[in-house]
Amino acid sequence: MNGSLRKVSIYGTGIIPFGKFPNLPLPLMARPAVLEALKESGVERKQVDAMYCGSALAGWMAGQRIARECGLTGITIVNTENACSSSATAFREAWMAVACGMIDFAVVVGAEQLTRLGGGTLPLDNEDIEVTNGMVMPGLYAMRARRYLHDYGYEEKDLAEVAVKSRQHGALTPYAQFRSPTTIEQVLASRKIADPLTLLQCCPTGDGAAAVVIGPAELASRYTDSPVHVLGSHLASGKFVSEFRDMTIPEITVRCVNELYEEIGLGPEDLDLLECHDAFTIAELLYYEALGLCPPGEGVRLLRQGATTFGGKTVVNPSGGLLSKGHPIGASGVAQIVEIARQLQGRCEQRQVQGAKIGLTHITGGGTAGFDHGACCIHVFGV
Amino acid sequence: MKNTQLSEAPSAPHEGRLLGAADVMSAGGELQLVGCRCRQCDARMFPANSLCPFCLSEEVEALPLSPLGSLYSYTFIHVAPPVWEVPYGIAYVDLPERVRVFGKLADADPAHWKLDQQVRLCVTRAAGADDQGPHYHYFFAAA
Repeated sequence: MNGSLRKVSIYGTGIIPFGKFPNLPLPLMARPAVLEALKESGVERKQVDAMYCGSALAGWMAGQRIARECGLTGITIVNTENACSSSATAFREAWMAVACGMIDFAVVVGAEQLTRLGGGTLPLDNEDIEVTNGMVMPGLYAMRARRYLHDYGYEEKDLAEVAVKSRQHGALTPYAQFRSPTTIEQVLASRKIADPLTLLQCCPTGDGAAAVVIGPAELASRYTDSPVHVLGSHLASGKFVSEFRDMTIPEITVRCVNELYEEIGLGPEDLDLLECHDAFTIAELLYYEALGLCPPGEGVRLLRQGATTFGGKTVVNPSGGLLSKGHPIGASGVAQIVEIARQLQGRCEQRQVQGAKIGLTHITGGGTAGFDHGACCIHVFGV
Repeated sequence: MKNTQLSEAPSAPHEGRLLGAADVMSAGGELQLVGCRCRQCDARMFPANSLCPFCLSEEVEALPLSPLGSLYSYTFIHVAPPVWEVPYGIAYVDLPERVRVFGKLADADPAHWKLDQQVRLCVTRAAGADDQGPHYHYFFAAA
């Protein structure tokens, strides 16, 4: 990271319980998250220099529409779309603006209403040769899963264990969409989506919003007693490959996280917890490996050892992750950041990761022919 | 399995993306897909591109794709946009030309498919046409 950049801190966080709110206009759905983050931050509305809004499918000017309901109109507003990484990208843009001294205070919000699309799989781009031949997002992950199980000799019930852990965590998270535990048998018996993936192995259709207020670290103590510091930020895009690729290695995540680890001088062994892009059960296992928690093929063993649940070495998705907390895609990046910030502040009660000092958020996504994924955005936070 | 002539082709799954005449060639009575190879950097791809997206060379030549390949991965889709009839199978197939092609499987019976098996890339005439010629679509059948 450029040494002349200012250090940046999260001053306040806000989130609404994720669920299905098809009759609530998006700006009204997002408003409580923004107002909560502002209130927590101690920053006055008139001090906010800019708003960054991430959303993938909310239509034009989601930021302006949200600002209208939050008394924030007239300031600089930037709307970002980067598939599932939309609001993590918004956070990164805001971080850069504060870090380089262009502005002091920014509101970052992520908001999405998938229920308005009618449910089912996400709408994908019709110019894409794979989409026009029947590709859907669960299908892409299912093909990764089939290859992974085959190459490393695992079974479908090994995937189901990810969903069981996720629901255990989600049950402890007040803003999770799914708050009831489940069993391996229930996961495997749920209806088929794209085999080997069953319904309970897929993130749900849902709506949600999350927000943070950030500002320079040097001013944080004037506003808040518990700032959370941004230790690193990185955004990578997918590389186009037309030949063969190993679908069990999420190349964009491997590249993005390794560049970030090198830049900030930290590694996977330094992480107390992380929120990763567990859009499907297989994804969490692949991301254990890609983020460096274990070698390739060892994800299932890491899970079974309990290393990624409470009491383990690195707690993964303490919120329940996308599988249980929900995945209103454009909102998820900031929602992950809210969870990690609150964990580092020690505010997470039943699901608190004891002694958490350093946490990471990872969100990738965007299904496009020839790419592992379109975008990957990773942040590391500390207290 | 003997070469699949058009008349003997397995019945096509629900129609996927239509290809134009430039994406298909006829060799010995059999229809084949045509991708491209960059003469500068040797990149290969399907569908073909008039400009190499890797080195930006315009020296791109047609690359007829083998009808036989290896099933890299596949799944059966049970939830999809209404345009598709579920369940249906989709797959990535690796061809000897070092090109991975995505397409639909001929059927969605799990008993018919396993990883790394040989599959046949079948090209069939579709109903429509344009001023370049007839339309086609393609799918994978067990070889």
